[in-house]
Amino acid sequence: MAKNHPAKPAGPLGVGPRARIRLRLYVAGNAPNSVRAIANCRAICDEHFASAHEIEIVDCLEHPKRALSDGIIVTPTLLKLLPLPVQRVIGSLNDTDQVLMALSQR
Amino acid sequence: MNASEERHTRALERQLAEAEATVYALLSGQIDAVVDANSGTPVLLAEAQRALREERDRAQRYLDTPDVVLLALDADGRITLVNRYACAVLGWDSHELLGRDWVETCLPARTRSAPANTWRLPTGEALSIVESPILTRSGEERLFEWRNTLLRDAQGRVIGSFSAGADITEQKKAGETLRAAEERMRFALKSAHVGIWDMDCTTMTVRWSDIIEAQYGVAAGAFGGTFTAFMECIHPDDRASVLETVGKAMKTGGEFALLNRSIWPDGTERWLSGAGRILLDKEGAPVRGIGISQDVTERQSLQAQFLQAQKMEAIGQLAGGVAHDFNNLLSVILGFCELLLADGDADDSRQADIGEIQKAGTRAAGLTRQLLAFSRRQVIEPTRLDLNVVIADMRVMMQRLIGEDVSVVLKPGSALAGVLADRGQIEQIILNLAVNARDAMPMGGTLTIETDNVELDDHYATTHLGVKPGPYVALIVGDTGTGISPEVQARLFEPFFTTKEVGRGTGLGLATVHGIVMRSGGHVNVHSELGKGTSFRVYFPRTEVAERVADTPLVLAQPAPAGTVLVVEDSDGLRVLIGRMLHRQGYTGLLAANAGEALRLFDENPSIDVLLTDVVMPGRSGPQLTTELIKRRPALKVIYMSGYTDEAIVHHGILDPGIIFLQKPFSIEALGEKLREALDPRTH
Repeated sequence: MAKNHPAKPAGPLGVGPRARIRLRLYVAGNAPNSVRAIANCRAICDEHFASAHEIEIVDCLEHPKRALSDGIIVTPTLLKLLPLPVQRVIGSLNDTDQVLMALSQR
Repeated sequence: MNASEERHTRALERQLAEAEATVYALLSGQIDAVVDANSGTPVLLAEAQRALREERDRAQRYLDTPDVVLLALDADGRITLVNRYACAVLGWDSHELLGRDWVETCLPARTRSAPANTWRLPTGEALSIVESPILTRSGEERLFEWRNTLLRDAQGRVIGSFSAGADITEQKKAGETLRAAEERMRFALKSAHVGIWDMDCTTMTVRWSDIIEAQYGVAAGAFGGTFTAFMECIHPDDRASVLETVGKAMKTGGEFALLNRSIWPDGTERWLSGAGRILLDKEGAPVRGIGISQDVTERQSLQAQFLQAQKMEAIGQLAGGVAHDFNNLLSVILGFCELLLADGDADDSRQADIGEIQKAGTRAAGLTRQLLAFSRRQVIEPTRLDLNVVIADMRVMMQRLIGEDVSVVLKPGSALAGVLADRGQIEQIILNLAVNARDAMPMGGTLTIETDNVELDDHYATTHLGVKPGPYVALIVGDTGTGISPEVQARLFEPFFTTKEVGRGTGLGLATVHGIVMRSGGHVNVHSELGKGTSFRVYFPRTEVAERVADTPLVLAQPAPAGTVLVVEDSDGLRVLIGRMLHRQGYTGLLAANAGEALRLFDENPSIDVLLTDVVMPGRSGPQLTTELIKRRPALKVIYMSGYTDEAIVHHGILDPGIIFLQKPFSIEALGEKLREALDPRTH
């Protein structure tokens, strides 16, 4: 399944050359916590990682199979794909410290 | 713990931490949905459902606010969203529409395959703005203007469309009504040849419609656009009056009318009639002028023709009146000349003098005849005529009429058959054609008058309207003049159509020729070549009527039957002359000056055989007297004598059957002939 935006040249692991952090956020349409999670995620990344990040937002309502393959149980769920190891943050990402801690874990 | 046990423990700790985090998130209300472990489909939690419903309702309210149809379709063209307005317009409930094929359900059958409706094909591009009709549930069509957007997924594939449509049915209808009205107005102005102008009085700029430009001989779009340019298009003689009229209107405002000539760059002059209005502002300064203009050249010309025709009619009446009195005088002069010559000594030198008086009188009678021809008051008395004799008799008069520059050539056909026609009218035809021929030869030329026996065959009859095949006598009048263009030929016989300058032609000459020929069962046509000449061919049916015995001198020698004639004539000289003429022929004449005297004499003399009466008299007229006398004695024979026709005895110029008419002035011989006709038992 294609995960990358076709316009961006892919690196060896499917990451853009300058993206040091790669995230995937599972949401359920425009449900309130999903909308909140998207907004919080963008704000945190913009503030702490500037342009060196990449966020893919997956709507489980449209792509239920992807939720299964990533083992998602609830929405919203944020996956940190890179740098490894993979980390999960559940909920609306209100707690910035908790999110930052998850993202900085190696 | 070994390494394997340690990894397992860590994984369990991580799962536990995730479970804790999930539970925490769930308890703190941060979760929207739980993912179904089999399908992956998220199951929305109650709170999220409520929130989503609210959001959808809010969105639906947004969608329902404007008077615009909002419509979303999926990639297969099925309806996935409609707003309330769309439902109201289409006449369906939203649950009836959702999932249905838009094109099949809501578009008229005839437009279903139109390119504008195939936009939803995955490869197609959206048509940004299109006009296309929709079909409501009740079958009504309404026209919509659509703004369409294609919806694509992250990979750029078309997944549907979103459209906003505005109902432009009424707007379009209003636009069409306006366009139709404008079109009608333009058509009306154009067919009525009405031009319109518009002037900005502050800048003195003028706008003209193309019709006005044509009226002023200006090429389309070439008008200078200023009041000065307008003035330059006006005939110099009319500029002052136009300037005065428009100038006055610009001071006082209001409406004005113009009648002026336009002068074209090529010198053509046209008469134009205009009407306009100047609008003033609050301070009384002219702001704008608008108006119309019509070419009235033809109307002016028709008016002139009408006046000309009226003038001719008046002259005709005058001529007819003069001819009446003149004929009485000529009758007396010629009658007494005749008596003197008959009674006198052939050796008497004064006999020649009397002969001169008679010649002059005869010429005057000829003039009177022409006056009557001109005034169209001739009585038609069709007789058997030899056209060769008629043209020979007219030769001298014709040469005089035509002038010295044109030579007259007669080519009489041999063994020419007779025609049944009125001599006066035949002469009128020849004169009219000869005068036209002369006018076509201003530099001189040859006028040829020819006669011939001809047969008009079936082919000729079928190619010439109203012609019967058979034997005819042709009268051909040809000239070597300028010729007649095909356009003019087409209208040649129309009354009042003339190419002659004002005052020279009545436009009735050829119309009269046509009328006379038609009435005699004949036919007339014209051959003409520009620069070479024209020939008119008049065909009269040959007559089988034998020459009248009365026309031969043999009959004159026969003794006249005797009888008593009551003469009613208000002219004293003529009355005395008629008495003398009757006496000479062996009749008894009883003379009365008016109807009263005539009635007295009639009652006193039961022996009266014939009434010979003038038509127009003071008191009771000839016909009124006749009616009274016929009541008393139905067998009474009546002869009318007159210088011109009167509707009392003739209708449309043709004598009523049974009425004997004696044209003044008349000879002893003519009188005798009419009396014999009246008294001849075979004629009644």
